[in-house]
Amino acid sequence: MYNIYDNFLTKSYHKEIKDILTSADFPWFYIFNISDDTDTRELKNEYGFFHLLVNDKGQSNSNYTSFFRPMLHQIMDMTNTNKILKARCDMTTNKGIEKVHNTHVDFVDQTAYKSVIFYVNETDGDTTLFNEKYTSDFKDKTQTIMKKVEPKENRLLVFEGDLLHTGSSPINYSNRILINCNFI
Amino acid sequence: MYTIEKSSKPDFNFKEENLSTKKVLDEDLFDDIRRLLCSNEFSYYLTPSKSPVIFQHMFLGLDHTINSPHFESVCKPIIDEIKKNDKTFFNILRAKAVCYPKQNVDKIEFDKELIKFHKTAIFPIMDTNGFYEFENEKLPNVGQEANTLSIFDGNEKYRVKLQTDLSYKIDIIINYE
Repeated sequence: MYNIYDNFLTKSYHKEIKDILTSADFPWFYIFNISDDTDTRELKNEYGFFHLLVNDKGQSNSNYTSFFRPMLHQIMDMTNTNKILKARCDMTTNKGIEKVHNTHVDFVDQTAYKSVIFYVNETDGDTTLFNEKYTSDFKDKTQTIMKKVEPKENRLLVFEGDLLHTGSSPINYSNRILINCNFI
Repeated sequence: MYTIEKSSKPDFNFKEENLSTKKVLDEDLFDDIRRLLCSNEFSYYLTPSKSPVIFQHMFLGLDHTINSPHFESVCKPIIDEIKKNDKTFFNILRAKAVCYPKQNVDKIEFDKELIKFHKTAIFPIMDTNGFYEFENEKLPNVGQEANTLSIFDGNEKYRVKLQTDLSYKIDIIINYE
């Protein structure tokens, strides 16, 4: 149901990605809900920052996309997929409290796709995978934890897209940067 | 009453009016600016500071280059207000938007913006309980109320006291001479 690959990218490529994403030149965009499309403007701690590399139509959305393409293709080869559904850089910041974000899937209208998280920086804030798959009424049901995955630099997490999952904000580090992408 | 402490420079001569609580921009214009800066179409850039995490968007850099397509629409009306309130206004040195995500950081060092003699104007985008305090304790806290303009001697060291109510605080900071 899930796979973890440590040291996924070559050292220098990973370092370059980390340097870019933590540089003062890389644009980030505020989003009030980093997990899904639910309007959480009233809630105070669901927010994050994102940078879209490939939009949900599969189109490049950033001047930086070409730099990330080799990584995306490497993931596609590894997961036996051939199309990028979406790729996005995400950053959550230390909110001073332990914050587990909303349980979700990345696409509710897709089947048989892979969800992938590439952890960029040294940080905390586990990703939780649940045993349950997405159903339209999942919020009314109880979920049981399958695995908590610690973020680790240059770690890749691959799992079935219909698995419910969630992330959490860092508490011991100032920010948590990852690349979240989906393939079919 | 917010008064500007006199600088040693003779041209530091503002009207003694309550700049920090007066709404300066027309409501519709301010709403347009606020919506843009809070939208997911407005880019922010990490600053080198590791803690706290601070994002900024440079409208106009110290090299006098306009770095943002939003300089005219966002900064121009605020600059016009500065000009109305400060007849000694001569030149913009830098204009940026700063975004402070809510975070748990107690102590931030006092700092000043630039070495060159200048003035700093702070224009908050939202009402928060976060503010700026000065090392010189005689000066009042500023930067809490949306759509207000606080102008002070840029050589005064100051620091942000991060908000605890909202998930983020966005301010426009303009340095000028």
